[in-house]
Amino acid sequence: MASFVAYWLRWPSVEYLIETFTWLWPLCETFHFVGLILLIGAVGAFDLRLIGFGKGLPPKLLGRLLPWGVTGFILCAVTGFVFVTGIVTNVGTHPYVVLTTNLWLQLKLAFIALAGLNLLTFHLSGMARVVGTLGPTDDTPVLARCLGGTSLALWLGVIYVGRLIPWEL
Amino acid sequence: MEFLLWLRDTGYVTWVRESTSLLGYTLYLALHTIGLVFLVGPNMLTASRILGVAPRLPLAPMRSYVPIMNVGFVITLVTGSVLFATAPDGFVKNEVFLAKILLVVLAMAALRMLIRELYGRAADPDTTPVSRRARLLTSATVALWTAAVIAGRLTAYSARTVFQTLLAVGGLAVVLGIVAYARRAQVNRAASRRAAFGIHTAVEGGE
Repeated sequence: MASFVAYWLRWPSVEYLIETFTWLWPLCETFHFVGLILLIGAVGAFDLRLIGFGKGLPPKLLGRLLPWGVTGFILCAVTGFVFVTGIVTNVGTHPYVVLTTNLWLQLKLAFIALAGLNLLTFHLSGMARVVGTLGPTDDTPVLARCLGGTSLALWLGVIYVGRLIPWEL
Repeated sequence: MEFLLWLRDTGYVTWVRESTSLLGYTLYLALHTIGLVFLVGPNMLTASRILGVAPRLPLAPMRSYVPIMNVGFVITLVTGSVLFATAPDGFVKNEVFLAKILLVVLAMAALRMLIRELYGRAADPDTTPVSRRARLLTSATVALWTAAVIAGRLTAYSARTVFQTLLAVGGLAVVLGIVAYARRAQVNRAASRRAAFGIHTAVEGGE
């Protein structure tokens, strides 16, 4: 099983591209940051409104910016995929070893999964629907506040531990 | 230079550079990114309203983002200063780093001018259309922050890689620009078709 996963984690095509085009890695890093700004810009503003910051902004309209956050997430996921599958070219460590030993990468992936669960709860609990009907200055329900706070904390945690990953390679 | 070397060799800065503690170098690096998010994120949100991505969001409540941006700026400035102090002799000779600092200064100036333009007057910013000056300043902050983030990321690379990456970013910007222009032209054509149709029915209704 382990060798099967290890086999699929290394992408010779990605490694070839990184080796041939020296600008690919820094370009991906740049887009990883642009994606992160889009993600936190859209999701963070929505979360802050859920917590109670930015009263006067209708939650429904802020919610319409969320596709930008999704765009940012996809940008981060695609460039992050390049980092993991092509990491051998950059630091000489096999991605399987990195995934199984790098605590920060593991924490980051766990935080992303938790943020996904948090989002799922937001929709399944009906909070998404309730918040969508609120006026510009209305208070949000307690559960929505908690979920907003958790989301913001998790995404900031993702950035924090993400920044630590290269220091353990 | 003397001062920079003294700064680099002070006890605390040496500890920050050499310690493997989580309170050392990586703390400043991570907080630098978090501060950046708080500073540029709300800036981009305000820009999305002013530049027409989210035209129906009210501007006045976005004033409460100003303190958040200030906190973000202070965090990036403090952590950035410490990061600079760990290798000041290298940074002052790094053109990409100097370009980044210049871009950040310009972006901050544009942001301050924008905030004054939007909220400095007694009038409610939502009852009057956004001024041309505000729109220009907003475009400037978006362009300058984007350039500053790119320069910041590229500070660690050799001149050759920097050049190649800039070419790649430029190429992508051109492609995105063409796509955006084509889409805008398409939207405009649809709007003028609707307008022509509207005039037509109005004339018929008049008869």
